[in-house]
Amino acid sequence: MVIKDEELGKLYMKYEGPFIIQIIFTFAKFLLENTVVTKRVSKKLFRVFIELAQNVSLYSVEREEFINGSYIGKGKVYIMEYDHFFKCITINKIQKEHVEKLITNCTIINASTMEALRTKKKELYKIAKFQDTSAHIGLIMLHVYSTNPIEFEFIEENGDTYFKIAVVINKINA
Amino acid sequence: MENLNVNVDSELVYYPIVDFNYQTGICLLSGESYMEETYKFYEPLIFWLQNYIVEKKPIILNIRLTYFNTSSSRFILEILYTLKRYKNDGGEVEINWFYKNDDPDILSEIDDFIEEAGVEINILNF
Repeated sequence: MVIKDEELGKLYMKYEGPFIIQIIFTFAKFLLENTVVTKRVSKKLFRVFIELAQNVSLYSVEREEFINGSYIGKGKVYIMEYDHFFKCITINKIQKEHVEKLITNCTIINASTMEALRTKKKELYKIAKFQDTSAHIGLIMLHVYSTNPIEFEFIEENGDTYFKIAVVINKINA
Repeated sequence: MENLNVNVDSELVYYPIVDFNYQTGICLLSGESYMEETYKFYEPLIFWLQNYIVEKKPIILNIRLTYFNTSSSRFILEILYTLKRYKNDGGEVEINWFYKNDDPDILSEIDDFIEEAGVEINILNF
């Protein structure tokens, strides 16, 4: 279900489990400090990874309870390295009724100019005081940081629905 | 009213360093911001600022954030709205945002904050 043949690059990083902040921090720091590219690219990779990872942490319906009483979302992350880009992929279980909304949001984001996305982000900030819009803003930021379209897919497995999202970060002209 | 110091020893890197000084009015927000339960971290900061500006003292906010997630952005914006309202009421406000030259993404974010909050932010390299 996870990685297609055409997505197989050099596996740079992989994790499966609850996306607790300590895990996110450890992986993010590794990406920032050990990725042998320009600082600008490693920062983009760092930011895209955190947005994707916190999306799993907050919105995956598969959750694990921790000793402090918090419930943290579970999922998978893969970072693949290719000659000219990195690809950051997350997969997490979602509620089936959210599929349509996610398709709409991702499709609109991919079709939008950067200027339109920044305008949309500011609109969402205005309503963010009253409702949680972080997931939508997070998707916008994935496109803004990477400057590439969001690749997304919904996978049905054993009656469950999984959201797979992939973001390409170019090594040059990032 | 007391100074507000949070995470000054930088043990938890995903929390920013907060050094809000009541005596000088110089407030620092520095580092990275991508903690869980963002509101629990930022609400005391906003509360502190709301109490501080009641006294009509000058305030300088120095921001040296190198990364903040989308949840944090909402609260940073709330801080800027608070200072904007204070300035509109006659308060003396200076906001400085320090950023690194090799990070154009953060520059775009600062521009969006300026536009959205309607505040003046001095953008400075460090």
